[in-house]
Amino acid sequence: MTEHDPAEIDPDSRDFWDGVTRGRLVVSRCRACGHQLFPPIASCVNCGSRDLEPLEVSGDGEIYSWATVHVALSDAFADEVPYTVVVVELSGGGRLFGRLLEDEPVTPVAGATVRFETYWVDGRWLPGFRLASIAGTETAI
Amino acid sequence: MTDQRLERDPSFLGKAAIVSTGYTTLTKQSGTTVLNLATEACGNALAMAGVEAAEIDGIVSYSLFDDSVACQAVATAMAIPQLTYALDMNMGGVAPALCVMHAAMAVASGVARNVLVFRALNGRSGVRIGQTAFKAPTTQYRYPVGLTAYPQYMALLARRYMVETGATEEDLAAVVVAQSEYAAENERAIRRRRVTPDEYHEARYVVEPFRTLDCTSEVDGACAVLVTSVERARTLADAPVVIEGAAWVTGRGSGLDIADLLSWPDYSRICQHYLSERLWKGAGLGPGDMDVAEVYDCFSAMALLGIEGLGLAERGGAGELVRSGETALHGRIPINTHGGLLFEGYLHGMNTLAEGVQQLQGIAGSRQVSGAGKCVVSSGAMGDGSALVLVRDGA
Repeated sequence: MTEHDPAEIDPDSRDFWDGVTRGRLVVSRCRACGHQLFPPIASCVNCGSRDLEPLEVSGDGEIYSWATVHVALSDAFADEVPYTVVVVELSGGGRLFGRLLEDEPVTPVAGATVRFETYWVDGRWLPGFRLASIAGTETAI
Repeated sequence: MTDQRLERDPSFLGKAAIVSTGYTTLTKQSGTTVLNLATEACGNALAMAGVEAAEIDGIVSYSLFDDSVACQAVATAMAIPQLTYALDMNMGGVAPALCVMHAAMAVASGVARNVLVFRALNGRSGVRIGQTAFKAPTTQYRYPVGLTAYPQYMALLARRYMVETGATEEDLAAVVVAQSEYAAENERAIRRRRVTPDEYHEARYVVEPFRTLDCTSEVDGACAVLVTSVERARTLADAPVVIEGAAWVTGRGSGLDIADLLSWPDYSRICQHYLSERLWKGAGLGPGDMDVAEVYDCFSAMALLGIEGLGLAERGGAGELVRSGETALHGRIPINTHGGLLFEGYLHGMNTLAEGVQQLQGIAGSRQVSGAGKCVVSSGAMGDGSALVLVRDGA
């Protein structure tokens, strides 16, 4: 059973989660090749270098894919359905999962621009995204 | 292909064969232990081949979330005197074809002579994959925001596939409807009924684009096959099924655990796309040579990605292939003739593989593809996975 608590926070991910609690998005950048990566593991998935640094980014990005959950598969999320999780291609590189934060249900489209925004649930801040414009929804087509 | 056998690349290809399959009944509540399921399925495979347990010297198996029993335990329970080869893989549904590949390598190299490959689990009444938390470094990025289980991960792949290829929910429906036709003829299937297009569209969403009918059904049960040398196989079976092609790949960025998609570059393509060149080259055959295909389908869309990855259809063309009827029993390339994991049940692809063997042995009953001699089988639906090209001896 899973919950909202990111229980597996580790030395590689601490900067990211610290950022989330401040409303900021912190990813990782390779000092050797410049690759911007997420998740922020201790080696570069592009070149294999172990010389990386945390990097605060704008949190702008585009929707790459998404899933709208209608039936919660973990009890902790039963009160939240339906909800949409988006996969966001960050400006500068790296992909991140986040909750799509919209007051009304919308159907995303691929390539829609979003910006990072955290949300509060179950006593903690978590990563989410909000559409930068209504043009990112199917209702605008 | 006999004259080429000394020069095969990889060298183990064409040297080992599957001689038999063994199943337990697939149920929602077995009422017994996983060890008992494993020994029953393995015992049934031995009985079908007429091989004594004492002749077994290798066992290969796989698990997920510690949901199975070790090869050592099965050897003990079956009173096997000595194993010289065993492999317990914590790999889930990406493993079945890889397990048989390992068995074939063990046989071809002489490490073992007779190798059982099995999958056993109480997947419905015991450890349910859909509701069990991974202990992995990447779960912190998906669980808290509500990506908690496989249907949701796979929905992300399905959605991007639809975005890139223009595939629609009608294509998913086509898979479900087509495979239900086979399931209706399959006494093993846990969902044994025909599904109409209307019924499909009336089913509720679990996670868009997947409805309940797009998702496999978790089961309790076990399935096994017996691998030995081609020479020995000819003395045991009327129709030995020769392992002519086998490949496993992890695509670049396949993740930090088997459910991690954060580093996977292209959600519209999965492991079959990346292994197929190696698979077909090794086999000396191509997708057009196949008489039947058993394609991993934990969710309907994954069959489409798998079909295209193996080259059985053009990019974006799998839905039309299925809808056209060409994957049905009398079509050009029957696919998922047991009804797939969607209908037969979620034995994590071991049953997908065993169905291919049964087809080539001509024992698939009312689902039998007439004259089936060559079959491709795939295992896995994310960044890493495996596949086999199986050929009935002499076909």
